[in-house]
Parts: sequence; C-alpha cells; structure tokens
Amino acid sequence: MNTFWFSMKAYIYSLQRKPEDALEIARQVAETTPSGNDTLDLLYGIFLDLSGAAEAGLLYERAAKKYPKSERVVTSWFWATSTGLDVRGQQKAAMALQKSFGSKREYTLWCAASCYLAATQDDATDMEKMLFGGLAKRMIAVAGEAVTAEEAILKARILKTAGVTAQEELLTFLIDEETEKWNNLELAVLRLEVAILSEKWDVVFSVAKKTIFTELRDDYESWKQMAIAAHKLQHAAVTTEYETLLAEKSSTRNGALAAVYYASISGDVLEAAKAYFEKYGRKQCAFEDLKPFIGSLDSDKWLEFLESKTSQFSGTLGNATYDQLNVLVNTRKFVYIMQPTAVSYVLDNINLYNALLSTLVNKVDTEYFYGDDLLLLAVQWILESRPSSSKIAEKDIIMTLIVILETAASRDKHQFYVRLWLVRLYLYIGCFKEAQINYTHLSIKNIQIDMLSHHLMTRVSTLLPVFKTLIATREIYDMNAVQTPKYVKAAYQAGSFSQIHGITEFGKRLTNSIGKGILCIEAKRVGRLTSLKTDGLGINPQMIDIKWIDNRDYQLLQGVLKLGDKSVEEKYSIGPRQGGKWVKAFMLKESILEALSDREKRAAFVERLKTHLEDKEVLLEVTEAEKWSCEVILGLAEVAVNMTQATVTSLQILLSKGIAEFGNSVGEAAIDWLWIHNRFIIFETAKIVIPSLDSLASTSGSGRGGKVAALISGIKKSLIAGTDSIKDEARSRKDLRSKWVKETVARLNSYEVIEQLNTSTIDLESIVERTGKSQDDSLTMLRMMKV
Amino acid sequence: MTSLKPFHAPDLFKTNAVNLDVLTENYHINFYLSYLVSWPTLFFSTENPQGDITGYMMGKTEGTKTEWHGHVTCLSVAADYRRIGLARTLVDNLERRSEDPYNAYFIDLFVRASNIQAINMYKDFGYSVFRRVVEYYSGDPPEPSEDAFDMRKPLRRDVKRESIREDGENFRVSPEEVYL
Repeated sequence: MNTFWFSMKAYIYSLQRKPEDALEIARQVAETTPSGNDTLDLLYGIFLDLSGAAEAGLLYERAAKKYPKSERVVTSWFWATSTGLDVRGQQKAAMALQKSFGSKREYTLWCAASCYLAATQDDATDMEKMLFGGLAKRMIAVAGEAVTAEEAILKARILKTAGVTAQEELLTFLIDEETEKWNNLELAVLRLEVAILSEKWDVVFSVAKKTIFTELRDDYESWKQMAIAAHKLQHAAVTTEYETLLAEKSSTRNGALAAVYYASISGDVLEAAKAYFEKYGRKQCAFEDLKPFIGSLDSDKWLEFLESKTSQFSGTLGNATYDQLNVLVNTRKFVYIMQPTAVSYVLDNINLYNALLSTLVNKVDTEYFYGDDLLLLAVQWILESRPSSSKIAEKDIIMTLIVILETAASRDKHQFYVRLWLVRLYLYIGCFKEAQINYTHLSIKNIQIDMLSHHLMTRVSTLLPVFKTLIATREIYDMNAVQTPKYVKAAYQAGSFSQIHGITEFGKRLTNSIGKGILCIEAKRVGRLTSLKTDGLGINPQMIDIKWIDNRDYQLLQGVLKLGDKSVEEKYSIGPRQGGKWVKAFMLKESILEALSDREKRAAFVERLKTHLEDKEVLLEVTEAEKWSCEVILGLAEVAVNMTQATVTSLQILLSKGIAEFGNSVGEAAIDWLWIHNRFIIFETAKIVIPSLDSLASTSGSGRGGKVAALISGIKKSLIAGTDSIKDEARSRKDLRSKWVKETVARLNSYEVIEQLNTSTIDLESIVERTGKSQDDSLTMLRMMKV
Repeated sequence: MTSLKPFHAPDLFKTNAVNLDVLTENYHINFYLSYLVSWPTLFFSTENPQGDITGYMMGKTEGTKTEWHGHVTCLSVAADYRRIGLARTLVDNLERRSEDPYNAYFIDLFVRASNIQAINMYKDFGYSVFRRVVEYYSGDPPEPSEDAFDMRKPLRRDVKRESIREDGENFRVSPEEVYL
C-alpha cells in the first residue's frame, strides 16, 4: 500500500467536505502504522479536523511505539501536537521524547514545559493538575540548575503551580542572588506576587522597597504592597519608615497615588485625594486614578473642592489651557457619578464644550481632544435616562445623539470612543452603511478584528446582508491556524519558556473564538439570502460542541467613565448578546438542514436542537424571530420524517404566526434594527422552507398529490404573500423618506441641546438625509429579495 | 498609577485602548509572536491596577561588534495616559534590559522626520539624530514618501560614545544602507 498516496486521497476528500470517506481511508492507512513524516502529518491533520485530537494522537503514539528508536518519528509527534495546540498530546509526546532521548537536556526542559502546560490548561482536571504538576517539578529538577532567565522563569512557574508545599522553596529561589542576577522583569513580578501569597509581610515590604529604591523601578503595585504590608505588620518602625518614604520620596505619580491608597486603609482619604488632585488633576488619567476611592470620599466635600479648583478659571474658559481643560473634564466625570440628580448636566457639558473649543486651535490632527469626553458624558447621561433639562421626544433620541457625536467627530476624526458609539447608534436605527463609515475610520485589522468587529457585524446578515465585509473578518482565524502553532514550536526551539503558555492560550482563544462561530453562521445566512455559494465555511459537526471563548471587547462602549456598568451598552445593543449557546443553536439548525434528507443523522440533530431550545439561557441569547426560525426548522424536520396533513398543517400554523408577528408593523413604528432584522429572518426562513418542501414533496408519495400537496401549495402561497407584503411596506416606507427627513430636521433643530451646541462644523440636514438613505439600502434589498 | 509587566501573547487581547490610536500600527500576529519568542524580555507593557494595558514597548537586539544594539520597534501609550511619563518608563526599561543581559553598545529607533513631538521627546530622553534616512517611509500615493531620523543613545558599553555623531540631521543615507 502506498500510504502517502492514500493519505493524500483522504486529504482531498476532507477538502471536498466528504468526512466519512476521508476518515475511512485515513483509518485504513493508520492501521498499517506508517512512519513517513509526510504521511503522518497528513493523517494527523485529517484526524484532528474530523475526529479530534485523541485519534490524531493515537496515530503517532502507535508509530512511536513501533519505532521507539526513531528520534525523527517521536520529535514529529511532538511538533504535530503543536499544530493542533493539543496540550495533552504534547505532554505525552514530550514524555516519550525524554524517555527515549533524555540525554539531550533540551528534551527534558521541553518535557517540563509541556507537563506544566498540561497542568495549567483551563480544563485540566484536579487529577491532571496534580499528576502533570508533579511531573513538571520532577523534570525541572532533572534538568538541573537554570542556565538562562527563561529556564529560571519556567522553574518558578512550575513551583508556583505545585502549591503550598513548594511555596517556601519558590520564595527562597526568587529572592536568591543567583536568580536575581538575571535582572529579569518577569522574575521580579513573580517575586512580589509570591511574597504576597506567602503573607510574609516583612518580606513583601522589603521586596517592594528594593524594587522601588534599589532597582529604581517606580512601580505602583510595589508602592501599594508596601502600604498593605506596613498596615498588616502593625509595627511602629515599619509604619514610620513607610510614612517617611511617602513624605520624602513620593514625588512620582505612583508614589503620590500610593499616599492616597495608604490614607484609604489607615486614615482620612479626602485630604490625600485633594493633595493628589492638586498635583495631578491636570492629567487626563486623574479621574481613572482616583476612581477606586470614590466610595470613601464625602461627595459634598469632594465636589465642593473640585468646584473651587474649576472656579479659578471658569470665567476665562475661552482662553483655557490644556491643563485647565483636563481639570474641568475630570471634574465633570466626578459630578456625573456623585451628583446623579443634576438636571442641567447635559446642557452644562454642551456649554463647556463650546467654550473650550478654543483649545483646539493648536491641536495636532492625530491627538485627541479631551473636551470630547464632555459630549460623550452628555450622550451617556441621556441614554441612561437621567434628569435632563432638555425634552427630547423618545423617537428622536438616537438621531439627537448622532448629531452630537457627529459634531465631536467633525473636529476630532480619530476619537475612537466617539466613532464606536456612532457605529452602535447608527446600527441601532438600522443604518449599516453609516455605521460602516465610522467603523472604517478606526482601521480595524488583524487581531483587532476578533475583538472589535462585532461592533459592526452583530447580526449583520439580517441588517444588510453583505458578504464581502463579513468574510473579510475570516482572515484572522485562517492566519491563526497557520501562524500560531509555528510560534509554539519556535518558542520551544528558542528556549523561550516564558512564552509557550501564552502563545498556546492565544491560539486556543482564536481557534475557539465566539467571533469565529458567529461568522460561520452569519456567512450561511448571507449566502442564503443573497444566493451566494459559501464554500469553505462548512460547519463541521465537531464544532457544535466547542466551548466557545469570548474575546469581544464591550468595555470600550461602557462609556468614558468605564464603571463596569453594562446597562447602557446592553440597552442599545443589536439584540441579545450572542454567546456560545446562540452559536450551538444555529449550528444545529444548519446541521439539520444539511441532513434534511438523511433520516438517521437528521434525527440526532433534531433531538439536540429541541433539548437545546428548552434551555432558558439559550433564549437569553436569541431574538424572538431567531427563536421562531429555529422552531420552523424543527417543524420542517417533522415534515421530513412524516409528511402528513397534521405535520404540514402544524408547520403552516407556525409560519403564519411568525409572519404575522414579525412581518407586520404596528402603526407607523420607526424603522430600527429590529424592524429590519425581523423581516430578513422571514425572508431567510421562506428561502429555506419553499425549496425544502419542494424537494421533500418530490421524494414523498404523499407530497405529490391530494390534500398534503394542496397544503404545501398553500404554505408556499402564504409565504410569497407574506414576503410580498413586506416588500410593499418597504416601498411605501421609502416613498415617505423626504417627508421624514424634513420633519426630523425640524424637530432636531428645536431641541435645546442641538440649539446650544456649536454645530458649525456639520450639516445637520445632510446627516439626517444620509441616515435615511442608509436605512433605504436595507429596504431596497428587502424589496429585491426573491423567494 | 502604573506597573510594568512582561508582555505575553494573550495580552494582545487587551491592547485596544492603545492600538485604536491612529498612529499605532496593528501588526500581523506573526510579527508580535516572533518578537515574544525571540526577545521575550524586550516586550513589556504598563498596566493600571484594573489590568488594562496603558502602553507597551516592543524591542529587539541586532547588529554585530560595535553595532550590537537595542532597537525600539514600537512604543505606544493610550491616549488617556499620555503626558505622565509612561513613554520614559518604557524606554528606560528597554535601555536597562539592553545593557543587562544584552550588553549592547547603544539603543536606536526610527522616527518620521516630521514627527516633531516624538523627536523632541526622544531628545529629552537623551537620544540624538545619528543619520537621516531618505525616503525611509514609503507613502501611499498621493502621499509622498518621507524621511526618517535614525536616533541613538549610547549605553554604558560605548565608553567612547562612538555610536553617536554631531549634526546627524544632515548626514543622509539611503534605506538600503540601513538594511545592510
């Protein structure tokens, strides 16, 4: 048997998405225990993709058993496991390598590193933690004294994993001169961490003091830990020493802030905070620095103090300096939190923004204008429905905020908080193209795609199904699959042990990224709605059970205050946040559709989707229309099992209910993302149901004539009528566009917030017109849709 | 408040506040990973107590003999954390690591000749212009190409301060000469 030839054949089948055929051949070849590298690599990749790491690893394990003296086979096994970021497999291969070729020290180190990796992976069992942690400790001892800083880091991390029993040994190792000679930041950070864990506060104090005053590394964490240690020790000499250090040597920002921290645990924080603000209130980060102490401050006294600082220059804001601008904005942030009943907050911020525009004169284009935060705070205040002197009609809130933010963006085009909020608000009212313009300003690429593309792409298939923009987000996942494993290998080879764990975790987070799972579903939906072929984004049954990892950054939209309060961001989101349960539901839905004519496979997926939809948490992640679309697929699957009057009628009822609920407007409700989303879901469902029923009817005796056939014909007619009605409404909505623009502009201009804001750099009417046109793009697509 | 931390690959998921800056390049992942693997001690960040990354430095060592030096590949600080000395903290640390363990003669970096703010900042840190690299930054038409200043600061090993020169602004070289 030419094992390579057959492996290649299996590989081609896998590319052609014929997993059963590919696996059948691969298993036949694997039975022969091949030893050629190319063959083994091909087979490993096939098993990894189609049946999982266990079978892939078994292939090499057998080969290594059969050829134990072949260093080539065993090292290939070790490197192959890095391809799939298979930590358990890598540990096994490393043990084999060390056992057979342990005279090479590097193999012992690789073994220690991979045991450590296996002990610290997220899903390691207690047994694995103990077993692999113990093995790692034994192997690092076998390797002997560390000869590089990276080896010392590996040893320290292994000892840290070993728990309490090794803590003394670890601390001794880290504060040993031989270890300190490496002058290594990672070891220094570990040294303080381990000292804190040991709760030996005298050691903590001396380690932290050494960092700041001997190594001359001005480090807030060290200043803070010295304060904690001094407080815990309750020893007059230490307390006096720390207080003296604070008084005499805390000239840096970290030292000054440590004085605030020390006051917060030992005395009155107000005076310390005042002293800090006197010195650093003119820095942008002053609010962030003092935020943790807000709860300990007397609101009235603190705001009174801030008022005294700003009143010194409030009469001459037109000539405000950069420092004064910062003091003012920092103050307004405290007012936001500490005075939630301030009725004039929004207008005050707008007036201050106007007054501070003079400081923009010398601003470099690429710098940010801190005054934008005043507008962002005003926007957030309105979104949170706080008291406002300005009465804005509910239907105009989003457009009003868009005008405010467009004003900020017109003077500060790179301000990303402003741009991200514009993306969100435009999407919220169903304006994909306007959202995209703002998103494009942010030049999001590479790893940022995984963290940030959801801002534009959430439920994009049902807002404006655009394949090119969507599929561009795939690049990062393809790149990760190829590049990251290479660097796991490179880190082992270079002896960069401090990085192996991180690179492996990084690779896994992208491989199992929820963004990737959503992309697969969205591409299917877009493909279906636009009749595009979406080959290459096939949903592998293995993907259904992936534990998806969420790398998406929502924090940036929690406002410039970054309070961790998700309410505003969630209130104005494009549907419930899609999580792993959302992905699973739709992967099952797609799997049912792919197997609609395969009774056995289909039945398993149907049962799983039924059970899945009974989980209340799933319902927290899907929109009502999405839930309905899944139920329709279950109804369709029932028809596929048994095409009777009962099953077809049941499907018909379900479809009619959905069209009535999601396809009809109540009165002249404003168009927003949900209006558009619901209608695209109806179209997508129609595009699934009609051809599927045709196909099922042609292969079923009962579907070809009589009452069942008539019922099917009725379903098709009602679906076409329902979608035609949506098209008609889309047309009439579009026809009303110019009237809408005119009326909206008039109303916006009458609001006090818009009247007072200096909008000289924008054209309000043009913004409203563009918004309307952007909504029309979706309406046009709905009108052109064929079912 | 700032603490200096070693950078690890998952930290890339925490760089948005820094990398959304218009002047900060977002590289391919292999670029970041290659630096982490090759120079793990020369890639580090500043963090606030919430664990947010507020700035970072990507550095490397290169060259031979008296040209053996540390290099600033990327230095960036989040907008909210500017003008508080973070850049100096990051550069200081790179200098320290370049001296020990790398024993380099000097540190260098490239900066756009038009970026007066950055040039002045580095001068304040003790760097001087060593040479002007003509059309080092190729422009996206219609934007023209731009010259770079190669700025250097001698480290302890360069006792005679041979790695720097007077009047470097007027010492012109081509990009090819830099790559040699």
